[in-house]
Order: sequence, then structure tokens, then C-alpha cells
Amino acid sequence: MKHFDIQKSFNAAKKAPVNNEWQALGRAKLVRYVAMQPIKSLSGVAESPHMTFPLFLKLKPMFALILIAAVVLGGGGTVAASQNDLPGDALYKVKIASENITEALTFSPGSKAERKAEVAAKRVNELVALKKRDGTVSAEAVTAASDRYEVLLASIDSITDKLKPNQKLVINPRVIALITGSVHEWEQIRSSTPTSTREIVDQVVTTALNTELTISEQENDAAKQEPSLIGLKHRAENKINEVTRKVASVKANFLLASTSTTSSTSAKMATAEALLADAQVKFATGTYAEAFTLAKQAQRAAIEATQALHRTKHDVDVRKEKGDEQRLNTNVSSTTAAEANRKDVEKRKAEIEVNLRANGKTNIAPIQD
Amino acid sequence: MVVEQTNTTSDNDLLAQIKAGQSDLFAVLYDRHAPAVYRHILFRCEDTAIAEDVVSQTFLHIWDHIREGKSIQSFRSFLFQSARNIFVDMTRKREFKNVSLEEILENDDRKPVGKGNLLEDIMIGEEVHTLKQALASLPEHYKEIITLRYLSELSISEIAKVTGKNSGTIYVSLHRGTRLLRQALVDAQPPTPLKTFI
Repeated sequence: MKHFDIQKSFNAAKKAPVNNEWQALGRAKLVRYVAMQPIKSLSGVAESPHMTFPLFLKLKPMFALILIAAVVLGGGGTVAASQNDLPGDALYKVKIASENITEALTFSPGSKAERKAEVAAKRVNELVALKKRDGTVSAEAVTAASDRYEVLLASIDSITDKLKPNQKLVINPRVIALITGSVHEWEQIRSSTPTSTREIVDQVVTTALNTELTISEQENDAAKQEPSLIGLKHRAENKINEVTRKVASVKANFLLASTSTTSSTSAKMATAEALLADAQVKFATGTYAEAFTLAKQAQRAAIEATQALHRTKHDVDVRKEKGDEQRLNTNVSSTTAAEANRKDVEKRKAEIEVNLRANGKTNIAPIQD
Repeated sequence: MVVEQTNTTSDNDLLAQIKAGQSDLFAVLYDRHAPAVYRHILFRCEDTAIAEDVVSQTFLHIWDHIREGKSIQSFRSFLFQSARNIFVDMTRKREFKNVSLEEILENDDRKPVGKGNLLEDIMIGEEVHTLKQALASLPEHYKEIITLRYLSELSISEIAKVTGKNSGTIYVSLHRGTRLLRQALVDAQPPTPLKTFI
């Protein structure tokens, strides 16, 4: 029997090349990360990160900002302390800076797309946390969060578009799940913001839904290129689970909506649920390809139902605003007319009294209303 | 020269200097060990993207460990232990299954490893392919120990620290695993044609 030298067999595997460019880039980014986060025992500022909070509270805002900039540029343990900060808090910029560094150290496009989706979801979570903490969310915070969110969505879209088909089949569903979750949170924010801010939220939700649709289409195209039977059951199962979560989320959004849904929205939702049920039946009978196709169609219908719901809410808000305006204008006109009428009556009374006096009838009692 | 000095300095000495304030020496540890971690993870999952991410996340984790003032007794053990945990977390999140024998066989357009000499690349690719096929038939804990020993060249005590098992168990598992691997490599060979006697 031939004797195999195990070590010799592995020597060939040791010759697997390492991408020099990736290694050099990783080294450079690691060096920057190390510079930003020095060893705690050697850094006076980092020694007791929790003490920096009382320090900031005593400083004037401008000086606090300068100190924040120094920490970001020179490193320090305040990065750890900043992670629970919300928009407007002293160390929020440090939190964003540390997120950017961590993202820069993520190399694979798939992981980058996922990380960006997680960061986008975090932006919305922060608004929900702000609402819980302060009881309200300012228009400024909503605008800033929506700007960051939309930039991230555009970036995610361009990254997932360039992934290989097998990567899309893994990464895109995870990204879609994160976007679905964040859309639900935007809906929560919307229901508790003033009308003036709702338009901003509507715009960002529309962008999110369109991105979700685009990434879903990318995944569907990838599935067509990867018809391997080994993965088909797995993909069908994942798609059905993903769409089940989506349908549940859309239903929850319906409940959050203060307006009743239109017939088109309800019809789309009914279509989504029916297609999902069919997909589950096909999956149970082992017809995985059909199950996957039906689940895709259900997903599209659920996204369209959300889009229709949003249009309805937006239209209702616009009508409500116009209705309030009309009532206000009517009230104003009525008031003016009544005032004019009263003045006219007073004038007439005065004229009559003058006439009566002129005619010597001065004993007549003043005209009563 | 500083470069020559750092090349001969042991991992533990480098760690001591890093903790004393020479944080730039951490990059030396990266240069020294990143390729080995990369090859180990790549060998396990055949996904360059995952291998690259695991390497970068591992070194970030190690730096955070150092800056917190926590001690590292054996750098290589800690390195591979961290990489192992990060790899498991990452693949668990992605519902990733280790490449099965079926998938290896189905993947017809696999690119050969290496660069440069095409014939050599093809031969290396075939040899590694055969090895992976044989390894795929082994239980997971044997696969891991064999890969740590023969690919990443960790000592028995280092493997024990990485896996959390005692050295005696590692010896036994290694012995049993290599016996099974040899048998699998033999089984993978084409049958020797019978000699005919006229």
C-alpha cells in the first residue's frame, strides 16, 4: 500500500498565494486603527473614559468640539464611551468616526454591503431611542439621519450590483432583511413626528423601498445564473422565510398607519399573502424552483403594498393640511365680515341719532341693538 | 537595522515592546502572521472574501485585547483561537456550510492556486484538491486539528490552547485523524491495473 506523507501533501497547500495588495492595504488600515486607539495605560485621556463626560459638561460647547476633534485625530478611549451616544450628544461625532474606520477595515464587498446596511439601521434606531429618551425628535435630527441613511442606501445598491451571483444569493437577502426592519422603524418615527417632518420620512422610505426592490431583483437575476440544484432548496427556504418576515412587517406598518388603507393597498397585500401561501405549499411538495419563483412574486407584491400605503398616507396628510387651511381661511373671512357688519351698524346708528337731534328729537332714547 | 532586529525578535518580545509603547511594532506581527491565518481560513472555507475579513477582524480583536491591558501568553495560540472564533461566528451568521465533497466535485471551473508557472499551478491545484477531498471525509474535529498541525504548523500545546482541549486528547486525535486521512488518500488513488501474464 502506498504510504502518504501527510506533511508533504500539505506543503502544496502552503504555497497558496496571498494577495499582496490586500495585505498592504490591510496593514496600512491596521496601523491607522492602532494610532486611533492607543493602549489605555499609556494614554492619559483614555485612562478613565467615563470621567470625560463630566469634563465635557463643564466645558463651553466650542471648546468641547475642539477636544472632540483632538480625540478623533489623536486617538483615545472615548471611542468606547461614545458608542451609546445619540445625535446631538457630545461624542456622537466620535461614534460616527469610529464606525467609518471599522467600515474601512472591512475588505470584502459583501461584508461591506452588510455593514453599511447595519449602520443604516443604526441611524434609524438612534431616532427611535431619541424619541424614547426625549419624548420627541427634532426636524434637524430626522433630516440628518435621513441624509446619512440615503447615502448609505445608494452605496449598498452599487456594491451589491457588483457582487458575483453566488455572493448575491447570500448577501442580498441579509441586506433586504435589514432594510425591511429599518423601514418599519421609519414608520414608527413618522407616526410620532409633526406633519412638516413627515415629508422627509416619506421620501427616505420611498428610497428604501426602491432600493429593496432593486436588490431583490439583483438576487433574482443571480438565482437564474446559479441553477445548481444543491442550493435550490436552501435558496427557496431562505426566500420564503425572508418574505414571511416582510409580510409581517408590512402588516405591522398597516397597524401603525392612522389612516385606513385603500382598496389597492389591501388588494396588493392579499396578493402577497396568497402567493406566499402557494410558495409554502410548493416547498412542502419539493417543487423548490416554483416555490422560489412564487416567493419572489410575493416579495414584490408586499413591497408594492408598502409603497401604495405610503402614497395613501402622504395624500391624506396633504389633504388634511389643505383642509385645515381652508377652515382657517373661512374663519378669518367670517370674522372680518362680522366686524365689518358691526361697524356698519354702529355707523348707521350714529347717523340716525344725528338726524334725530337735528330734528329736535333729543329725548329719544339711543337706538338699542 | 530596525527591520532586521524585528525579524529575529520573538512574538513575546514584540508584545512586550508593544505594551511598553511601541505600538507600531504591531504591524510586524501582522506581516509575520497574517498570511498563515489567511491560508488556514481559506483552506477551510475556500472563500477569499471570508478569509480576508477573518484576518482583519482577528488582528483588530487582538489589538483591542492588548490595549485593554490583557495578557497573551502564546501569541500564535491566541491568534488562531481568535481567528477560529471569528470564523465560526461569521459563517454561522451567513448560514454557511463548510464546503462539502459534493460541492467540491460540482465545482468544475475552480481556478488553480498560485501564480506564475501554469503547469506548476495546475499540479499544485490538483494536489490540494485531492487533499481537500480526502479531508472532507473526516469528522470536523480531526480536520481542524490536522489543518492546524500540518498547514499552520502549530505545536501540540498550541493546538490544545486553540481548541480548549488537553494535549493528550490532541495527540490521540491527531494520530487517529492522520490514519484516517492516509486511508482516504489511498482510496482516492486510481486502481493499479492488474499485470497480465501471457
